[in-house]
Amino acid sequence: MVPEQVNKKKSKLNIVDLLLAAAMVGLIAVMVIPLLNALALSFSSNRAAVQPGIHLWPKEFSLIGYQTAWRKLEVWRPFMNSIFVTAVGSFLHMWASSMAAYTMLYKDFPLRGLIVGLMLFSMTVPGEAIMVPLYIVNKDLGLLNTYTSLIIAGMVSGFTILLLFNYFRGVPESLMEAARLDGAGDFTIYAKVFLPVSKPGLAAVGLFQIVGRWNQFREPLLYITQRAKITIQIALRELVVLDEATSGTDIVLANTRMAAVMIGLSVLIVVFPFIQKHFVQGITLGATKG
Amino acid sequence: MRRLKPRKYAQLYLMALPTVLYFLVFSIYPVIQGLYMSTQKPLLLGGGVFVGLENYRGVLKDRMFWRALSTTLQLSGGTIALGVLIPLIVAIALNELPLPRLRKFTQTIIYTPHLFSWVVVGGIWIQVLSPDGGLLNELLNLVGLQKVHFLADSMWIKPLIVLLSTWKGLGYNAVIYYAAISSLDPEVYEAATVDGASRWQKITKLTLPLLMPTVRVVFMLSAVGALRIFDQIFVLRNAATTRVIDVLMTYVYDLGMRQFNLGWATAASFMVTAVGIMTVGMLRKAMNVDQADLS
Repeated sequence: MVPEQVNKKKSKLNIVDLLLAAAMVGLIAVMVIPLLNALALSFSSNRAAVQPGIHLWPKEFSLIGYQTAWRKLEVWRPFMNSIFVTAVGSFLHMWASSMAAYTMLYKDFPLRGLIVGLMLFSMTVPGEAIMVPLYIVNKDLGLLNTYTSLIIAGMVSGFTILLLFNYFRGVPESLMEAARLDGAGDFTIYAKVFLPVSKPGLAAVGLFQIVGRWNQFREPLLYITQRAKITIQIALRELVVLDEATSGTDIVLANTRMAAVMIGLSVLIVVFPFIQKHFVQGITLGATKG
Repeated sequence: MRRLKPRKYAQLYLMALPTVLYFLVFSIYPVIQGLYMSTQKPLLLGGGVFVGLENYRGVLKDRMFWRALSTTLQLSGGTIALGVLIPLIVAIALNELPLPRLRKFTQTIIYTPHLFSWVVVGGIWIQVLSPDGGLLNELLNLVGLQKVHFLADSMWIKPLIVLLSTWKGLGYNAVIYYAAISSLDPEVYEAATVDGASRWQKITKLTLPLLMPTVRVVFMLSAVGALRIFDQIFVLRNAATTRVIDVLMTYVYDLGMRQFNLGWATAASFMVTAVGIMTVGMLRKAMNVDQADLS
């Protein structure tokens, strides 16, 4: 029979399959080797880090790079700042956007048209385009050098509202009516009925917010000038890109720089296993970032 | 659409308030403020005078602006071309791979750099490309070649930015393509197998034509941000290359934040945005891509 033939073909590897597999392994190598290089250096001793040669495995295993970056160069401070800004910012983003999505369920809600118009407008005008006036707005509101400026940046997004609105639309009306008959107000219905039902959508939004906010770069670059308040990406840029940071009189060695890169990746590593489930949804959300 | 009427709207107003306020203050107002600023010439003692379209004319006469535009088009053009094609090949190869474990693993690995910030990507690659002890130069040394100071070389920097952008974004586009391939009708392929079609024939006669709508979507997604590239340039530029890889958004940043020429900076960014919106609109029409295709 024909189906058996198909199965037979699949079970045996021919030359083409082997070449394909080799090509994929090659591709993986191109993606992984630069990372492996950074990881190996970050765990190398000061002496090994300055030695020439190919570093794909820690030579003279040591945590000195991490200690120098974390304590001496005080990467812990921007790290903590970023944790705070990311956590609060992601939470507020989910909260504000999901509430807006809920109000859009009511076709005769007077503000509905306004919200839709504002959403479309904000999705058309990219943040980069209003970089300078946004700086002025933050300055006029006294938000420069505050965490608030970073938390508010991107607090609501049209893409998130649309995504959650699509989830909310799928909630059966009977659930809503039952709650209303029990005397629940809109906020209660939103919090007790709609949020729990939309957990997968909220999770996807939250995860990509965490990644986006942890990686936030343009906003802290523009709004934060006080050393104590800089975020992880800005600190990393000074350390690994500009080479401007100094630890006393020493120059910053490769193991310290790569340790800082790994610290900058740490939050993503924690989030990554959860992200995998949302690859495809992330594509719609990722469209925001352009 | 729901027609349920809540007893009163008071709670809904409260729930919509943060969103409306946010958009008004951080989206609408900055645009109005920016448009106003773009028609002002600052005075020495503060304040400004209305100069009409003088700032726009000034930007259009600035050779740096045109150079930045040309660089942006080169870098984005290269990135879009590679970013549309290479992931397509990768996704088809993944689909042809009869080893499900390796397939899944490859997908996961190549997607990862998409999540990295440009500072992290820059940090990792500056190390690999470093002239003293960098991995690539050590390899060149092994085969007896001269050291190259890749990131400070005006000949290397542009291709490198295109390649690094591809490295970072390849997996993301490959996942889009792969998802599209997975959703193609398997019966079509079974029918082709029955008809004795070879693997290559199935790829060129079935998969590729069926993927064309997705290719268009990926192209559109990449084109939307084309004029706005900023982070990668900002992270990778240095004293030796800054004039070579200056793009539109770094031009705006330097004008506005370093020279405090707010009039020119806002005029330039509005022109870039207008051209961007028009280009994307025209492309969308020409290529027949609807928003619906995105979901």
